[in-house]
Amino acid sequence: MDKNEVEKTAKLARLNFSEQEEIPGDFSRQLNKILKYIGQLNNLDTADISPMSQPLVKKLKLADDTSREFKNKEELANNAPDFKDGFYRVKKIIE
Amino acid sequence: MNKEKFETVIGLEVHIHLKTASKLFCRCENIFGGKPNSRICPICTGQPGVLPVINKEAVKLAIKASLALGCRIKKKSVFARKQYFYPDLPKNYQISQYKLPLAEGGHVYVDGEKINLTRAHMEEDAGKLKHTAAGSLVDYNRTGTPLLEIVSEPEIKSPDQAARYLKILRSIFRYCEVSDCDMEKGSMRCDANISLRKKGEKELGIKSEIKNMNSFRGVRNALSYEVKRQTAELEKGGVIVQETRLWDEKKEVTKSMRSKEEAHDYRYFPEPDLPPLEVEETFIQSIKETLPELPRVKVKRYMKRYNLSEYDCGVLTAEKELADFFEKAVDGLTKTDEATVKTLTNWITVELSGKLNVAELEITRSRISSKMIAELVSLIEDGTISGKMAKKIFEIMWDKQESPSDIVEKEGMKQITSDDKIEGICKKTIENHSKIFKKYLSGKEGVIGALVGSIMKETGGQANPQLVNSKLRELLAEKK
Ligand SMILES: [Zn+2]
Repeated sequence: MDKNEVEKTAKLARLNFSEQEEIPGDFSRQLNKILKYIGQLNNLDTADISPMSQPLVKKLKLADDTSREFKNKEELANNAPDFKDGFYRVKKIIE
Repeated sequence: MNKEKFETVIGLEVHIHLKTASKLFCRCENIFGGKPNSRICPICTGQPGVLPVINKEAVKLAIKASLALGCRIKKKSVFARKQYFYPDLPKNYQISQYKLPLAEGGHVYVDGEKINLTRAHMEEDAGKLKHTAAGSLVDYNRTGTPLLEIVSEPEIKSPDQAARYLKILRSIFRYCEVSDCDMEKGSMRCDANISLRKKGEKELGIKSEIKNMNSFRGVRNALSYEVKRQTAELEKGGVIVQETRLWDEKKEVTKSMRSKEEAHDYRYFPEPDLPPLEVEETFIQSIKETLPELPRVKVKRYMKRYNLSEYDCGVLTAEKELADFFEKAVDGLTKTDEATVKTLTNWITVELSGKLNVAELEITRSRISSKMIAELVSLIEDGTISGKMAKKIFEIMWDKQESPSDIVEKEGMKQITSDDKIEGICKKTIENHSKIFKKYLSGKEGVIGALVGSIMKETGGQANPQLVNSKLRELLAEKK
């Protein structure tokens, strides 16, 4: 993973490194170490093993379809940076 | 346009809202509209630390819809995070299905042509944005509404066919009662991939993705515009840019969204908060048993049973409620021979549908019941009333909601069919119209129509015109 890829991923994830020039390089080195470590798995023969999407052994639980109102909506509004007249407000988006 | 040179290739991605009581991952109520942000909770607003729990009914409806399309239901499907930043999505990712969708394959017949489906998968809907001068306002009521996305293969050949495909999907889903599929309310939405290629070529051309088509008409017009735009571009030797374009309904053009490329880099990964969705064969079977007779099967049954045209059957079965009305009306007929059922079909698809359209009423709220219309048709078929009288009676039925036999009784509208009576009227008419009679004698047999007309007028349309006609001919022939 080179510096450019780190920068692109950071941009997609809305992580801002722009002021500290050396960080993408640091990340690149660290990520490569991690990828190399994980990469050892590539040496294993996994032909007969079905892909796993989740480490949990728990089975998925399904909920009954009954609606319940969440009462404390004020708290949700208070958690937002800008909530006014019943709407969450964000800076204007031009499509 | 240069129709011989290029052919159109369209693939559609259709989203439908599933008709559950609560949302997909939380128990907020799932209904249309309402006071902004009145149906939200920590889960659908993406507060830290909350966990999604899948709605069992949403899974059932998604499987039911997929089965109705002939899809293979996958025993195991996996939810994934599709990541993008936009305020309509408070978590900054949408829980969707990516590599392992709920259903694969399937097909839909559009006017006799088979359109194959790639897949159908479950996902959650996003919120709604309203743009104002002061900023963009977000309403999260819709966030988390269960959706089924149905992806077709690129096998649709024209904008018209695309609109027909959508209507057929809507019909099927309404039959199954999985969704209202109301495009105006956004419970059915559609994005299209469209490209052109030289006739006979196998490889697909470069496509554009069209969004923001909010009606069947919008889909047809947007895609027609796109065919013209791409044709013009290719004919002058240009290339199509792969991009997302928005349909502008007012200006009737598609416009490039100029979206950054990164918008399509969703960095999907399996949703860590949800184990795979595993469904058992018995569960799938139990859902299969709840599937109703689907429109295509109904069409075939009607064609075979009543010998009606495919077109008539298509109209009768487009909405389940109309098909139910028709079947009830058939049950109410005194005779169910082909001719009578055809007459009934015409009264339902022409007269009644016309009335309902003008009054903007659904068939379930028709002012004329299936029983009433069956009675009317029976009266026509046994000769009690003429077609012309039936139209008058139909108007009164609609206005006063009375039964046709009551109207016939009250208004004295019975058709005159007695031979003696008709003979009397005909004789009198011939005497009273000596000029016409002379013309007839001079060889102008066509004037007989004028005599029939005069009789119909005199009897207020109650004389049976066929009987009058043959009686007049008989009497005139005698006098020749
Ligand atoms: Zn909620």
